[in-house]
Amino acid sequence: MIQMYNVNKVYPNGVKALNAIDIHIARGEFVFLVGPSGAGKTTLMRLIFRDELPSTGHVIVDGRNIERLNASKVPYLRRSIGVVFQDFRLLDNRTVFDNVAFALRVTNTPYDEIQDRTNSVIDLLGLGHKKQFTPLQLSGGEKQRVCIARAIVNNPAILLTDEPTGNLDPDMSVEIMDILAEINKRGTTLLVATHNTQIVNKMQRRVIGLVDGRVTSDKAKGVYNY
Amino acid sequence: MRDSARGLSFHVQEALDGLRQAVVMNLATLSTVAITLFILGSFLLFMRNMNENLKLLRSQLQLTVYLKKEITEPQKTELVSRLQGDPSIVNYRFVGRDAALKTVKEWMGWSDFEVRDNPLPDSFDVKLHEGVDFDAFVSRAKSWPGVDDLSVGEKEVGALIKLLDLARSVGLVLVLVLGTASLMIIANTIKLTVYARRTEISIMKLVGATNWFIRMPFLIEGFLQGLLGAAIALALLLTGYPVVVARLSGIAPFLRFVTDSADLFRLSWQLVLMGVLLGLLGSLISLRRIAV
Repeated sequence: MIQMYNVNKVYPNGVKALNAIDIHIARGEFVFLVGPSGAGKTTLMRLIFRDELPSTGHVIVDGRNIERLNASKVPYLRRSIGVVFQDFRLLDNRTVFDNVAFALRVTNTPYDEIQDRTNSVIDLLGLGHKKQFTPLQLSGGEKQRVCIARAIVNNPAILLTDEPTGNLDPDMSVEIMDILAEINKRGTTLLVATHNTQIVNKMQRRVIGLVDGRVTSDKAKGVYNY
Repeated sequence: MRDSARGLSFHVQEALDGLRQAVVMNLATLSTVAITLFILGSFLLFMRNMNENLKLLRSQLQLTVYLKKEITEPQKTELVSRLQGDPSIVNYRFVGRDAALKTVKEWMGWSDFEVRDNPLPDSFDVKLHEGVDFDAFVSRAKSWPGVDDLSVGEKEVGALIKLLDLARSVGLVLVLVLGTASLMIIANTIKLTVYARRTEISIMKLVGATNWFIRMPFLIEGFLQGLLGAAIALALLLTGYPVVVARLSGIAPFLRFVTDSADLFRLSWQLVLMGVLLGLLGSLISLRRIAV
């Protein structure tokens, strides 16, 4: 599903974010990406949804070589990838329903389908009673769930989550991870960048360790260790 | 169909939100566009009226075709037949040199003055049809046999044309300067809206909205600014113009004014078109940066 071949990324200011990365992630896998701050986790994710281009090397996502992808095709690549950020990035002046439906509205989804899919995803994430609330009226965990709902509402093949439990207490973190595991069980390839040792150790999934832009470890059923 | 209508209403809704979010800025933009288009409209009306009056002036002008002193009878006969056959001419009248002298003397108050050698040549007074190509006739008539020169009030007409040209250049520069200012102000306003909505835009990009989908509300915003600006300018022009015409007609009854509704209609859509173009262009300038 995601292949990286000898990928290097150097930012214009000279910072070398990724160094000779070779990663292969199969369809339907659940992968933790761990490492200290500044290790290159976020850059690696941004390459996948083509927010950045590699300086050298190749990134192939669902059979598409992202650096050869025509600019007009990029939005269609992104429709097959859901992204969840630590800082939520929700629209505070819109309701939960509108925040989730936003992802469908801006991709020209038919009206009836927007209603159906938004309602069912909101219900799946247990927010059915808060559809008309705005993000300002929600707790951190609820906001993160709205964010996840928005990321999965158009049934993406890949879900990227950057520190999804970064702002949450331990109970809420477990709850969010359970939801992510459920989404993965339905066939979505999942990549989770995290600092949360407990969760990584508990879930026993593939763990890729990243330090200074290099892959230092890559173990199936791994633990938080880089 | 229903979905595309909903899609459009989404864009329009977003555009209206944009207008609401920065009311003062948008009012400033709107006034600038309106002022620019008002000046452009006034200028167009002025030029249209000037042209109309120039045409009138030309149609009322009488030409005098002066004959060479050494003109022969056969040449004179041919000239008469040319005058008769020319489709531009309404009528002509022969003025003998003695009659001409008499007219000049009467005009100058020299009735008693004895002129030994009459310096004036024979001539024809010629009146042209309204709207004929004046300059073409003059150059044609100059080549006719026995014609020495034409006195056509050419200098006066020429001066007027020069004045009109000057007015046109000044107006054009004014409109260009104001148009550029409007363009920049619209672009700036849209840029502020883009900045205010950067989170929305980043989410749109994230979830796979196309560039044109993201740009659409801002284009509509620019379009609406241009359209509203044009509407305000038009309202001012169409209410102010009849008042000005009434005043000027009182002062200068010999002037002719354009009041034809077809003319005013053409001016209206020209202004609306200009407004919309300004608005769209202004948004496009600030939207270049929104790219995947």
